[in-house]
Amino acid sequence: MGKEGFLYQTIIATTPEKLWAALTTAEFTRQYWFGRSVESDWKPGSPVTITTPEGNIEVKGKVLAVEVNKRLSYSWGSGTSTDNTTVVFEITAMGPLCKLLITHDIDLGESTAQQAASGWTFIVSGLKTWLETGKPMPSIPWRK
Amino acid sequence: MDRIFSALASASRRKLLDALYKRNGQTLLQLCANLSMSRQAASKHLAILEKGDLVLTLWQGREKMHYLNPVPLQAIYERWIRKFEQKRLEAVALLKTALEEDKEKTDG
Repeated sequence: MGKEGFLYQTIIATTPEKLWAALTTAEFTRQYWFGRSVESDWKPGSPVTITTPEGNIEVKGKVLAVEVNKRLSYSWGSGTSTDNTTVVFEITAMGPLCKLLITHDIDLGESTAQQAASGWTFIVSGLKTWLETGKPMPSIPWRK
Repeated sequence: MDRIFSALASASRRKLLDALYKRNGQTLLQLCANLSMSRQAASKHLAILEKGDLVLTLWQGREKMHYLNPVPLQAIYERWIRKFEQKRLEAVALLKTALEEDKEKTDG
């Protein structure tokens, strides 16, 4: 990541295997990622798509690096923008817990940066709730 | 939770978080300059914020950059604020329904 960008860190009572599955399986991402399906075969160079519940492709990217249960990164292209940003997920096992660090090198000049940033906060919180309780976070009324 | 609240219980530390919200990824020197805070004070406050997991650091070459981690703040929202928000939203929804019914009656 360059000097600017966003970091999100949380500690989740789960295993690296479960956390990895939660990040890489569309059926699971729909539970905490605003209903979105994150899909790929997770091989370096393969496409990644993030699709809304209505079926619109919101993000298109490519798998950059894969270390199963440890580290995943993919490029992040949204809308018509050709300037891809990069998102990196790092999983560190800490006994019965897992630390998840997400970095996203969104250019601060972009007007959508703060919006995307607040989105990640909800995704991370939802992911933690879902893995720890097995239930999705209740929907946020003003986001309906 | 205790560490998050302790970290937030200082105006200087909240100022540091605001500065990082405005511009994420700053060195100690940049933060000191922008907030006219001494190096010692800023580094003491940043250490407490790091303990509370509200600030994360990454080395970029020889520079240690500080980043805001908003996830614990979201946890506070979930635990302490959301339940009140829910009641308020329900009240607003009821009020809206009641007012619209009134309007229908007047219009009819």
